Amino acid sequence: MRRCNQVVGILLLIFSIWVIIVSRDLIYVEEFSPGAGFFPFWLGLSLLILSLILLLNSTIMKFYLTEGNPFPEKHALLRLAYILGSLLVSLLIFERIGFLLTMSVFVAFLLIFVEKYRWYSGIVISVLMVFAVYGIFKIWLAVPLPPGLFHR
Amino acid sequence: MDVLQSIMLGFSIALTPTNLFYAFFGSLVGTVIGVLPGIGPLCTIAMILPTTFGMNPTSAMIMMAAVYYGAQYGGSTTSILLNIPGESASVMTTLDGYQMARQGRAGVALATAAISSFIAGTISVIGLMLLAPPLAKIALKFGPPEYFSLMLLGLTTIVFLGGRSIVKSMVSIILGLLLGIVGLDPMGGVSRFTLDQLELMDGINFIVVVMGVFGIGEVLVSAEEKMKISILKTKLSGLIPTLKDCKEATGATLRGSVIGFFIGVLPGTGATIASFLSYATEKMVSKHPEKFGKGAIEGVAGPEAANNAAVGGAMVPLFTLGIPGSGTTAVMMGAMMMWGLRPGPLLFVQHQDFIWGIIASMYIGNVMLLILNLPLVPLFASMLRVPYSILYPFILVVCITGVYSLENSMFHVFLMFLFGIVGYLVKKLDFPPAPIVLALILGPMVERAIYQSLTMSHGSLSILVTRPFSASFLVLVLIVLAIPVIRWSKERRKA
Repeated sequence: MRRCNQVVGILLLIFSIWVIIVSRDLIYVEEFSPGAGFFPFWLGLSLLILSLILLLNSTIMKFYLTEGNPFPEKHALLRLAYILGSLLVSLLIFERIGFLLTMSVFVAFLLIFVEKYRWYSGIVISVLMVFAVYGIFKIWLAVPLPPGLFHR
Repeated sequence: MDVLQSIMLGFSIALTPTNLFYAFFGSLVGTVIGVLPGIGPLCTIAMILPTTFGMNPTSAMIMMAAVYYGAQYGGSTTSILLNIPGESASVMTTLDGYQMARQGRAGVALATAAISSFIAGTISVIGLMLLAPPLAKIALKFGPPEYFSLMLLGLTTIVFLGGRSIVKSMVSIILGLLLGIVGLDPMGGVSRFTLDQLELMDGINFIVVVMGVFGIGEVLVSAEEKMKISILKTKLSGLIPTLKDCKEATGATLRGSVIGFFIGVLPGTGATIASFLSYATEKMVSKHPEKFGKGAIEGVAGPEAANNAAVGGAMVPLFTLGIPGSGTTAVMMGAMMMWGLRPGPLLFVQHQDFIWGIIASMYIGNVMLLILNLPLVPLFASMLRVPYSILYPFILVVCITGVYSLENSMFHVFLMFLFGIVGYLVKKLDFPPAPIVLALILGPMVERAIYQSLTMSHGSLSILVTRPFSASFLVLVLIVLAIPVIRWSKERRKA
């Protein structure tokens, strides 16, 4: 956890410097009131101080020493990678392929390949689930969802 | 209009078939998500939000409030039968509830939780009804300096009373406030931190952040390992507590109701801390503190009452001041703004039907929940058999569809994906996620309040200390800031 906090501290420090630089390009004070850069500048400065405290706590003061690594083992990371990867691919093809097909394949993939359901159970559950969501959003609430390949 | 007339008006609105349906539906959904581990009221309210755009705001808010308090009812089921809290607010219920279940008294524990929740829910609605109108009257006198100091107080209590690392809580708040400044600045209309993306000109929609952090982020945390749930095989008959049980639970329920309501009013504390405090109080006042942790009925009644009463309490600052005290009420406030309502004291003047309709519906919802929860406990318990492996793909599909439906744009869906990863990391690294949402929603209001205050005073910060209400809030901020210092110096002296 200590190492993680140090990395987070450095990332927050870089981010806060970026916020301060961007906010300096905005007007700080108008004639009678603060400008667009006033609030972001102070937020950036606060974040900078906090990131330094976080770094100090985890490096010099040696806080968080007793806390173990918060991230999971290789097997669980692989599960996460499958979920995130399939989600990202689904989002990339969502509008082109359409809601029904993309989501059905996405859910079926999760159930069959990640959760190890039998292929027919996975397909039935995914189709039922996606049609239920489709029914709520498209039919009941009339939300336009991408038709994709089913576009006529 | 006095309170009695107002509540009559409220009942005339809440008792219409449509609103009764939404109260029932919200209570049912709330109970179900309370029962299911890995999905909470905050994420659920955000997920159903896109479905409310075509609805009457009163009906939509009735449904959301019902989800919120329904989740507190449902949370006890998993605590008692599984030793896993369905909600963070039900953690304390696991200690004695699960022990009762192991002793074959699961039915009594579940019934006690439901009855205590009902009594506490009703008491807290009475508290809300009595406390909110006078508070709203005072709040009508508030100007931008008072609102700024009040919001500062709210954010400070979240950081210092939240019970987590102060530095990490502050980072969460600052990140939320920074997300809130993306888009056009509220006073001059200058574009800020938009990275030249047209879609960011209107700012980052809070639903995108909530769905990402609490929907996808929560799924990633929960789906890391295959959840193996083993339900305690026990009889659920014998739901009626004995006279001795009732006697022991009554005091705990009443104390829990009062503690829960007042803790709920405070920003940043909420149902979880209320249940912790109630449990500690019960242990302290009990003649047999050694029974706690071994199946004491007070250990179920007190915390369950407290976490329900906190919901009514949390509505007080939301309705009267327009300042949410928790992530869930922040989302409800965001929803109100999306429907074109301005949360705050003017609601009591301009939208009496809305406010009183919701308050009255909370009475009705509590009755519905009692009726739902007592006979249907075995049904809700059987829902625990729905594996998380089916639940999480469903959550992901609803999140994608819900966010897409906001503006029919994939940009927001990808943004949600990004916030999902952020949400996962935030939870893993022990940064509290709820303050991010709260600060995101409060951010533009805080900024507007400080701009207006400084404009009023021609740039002098003294306006914050020369006005009595504002100065009082700032004194409270100092007191809250002093608490950890006092605690630290006491610990040092002891050492």
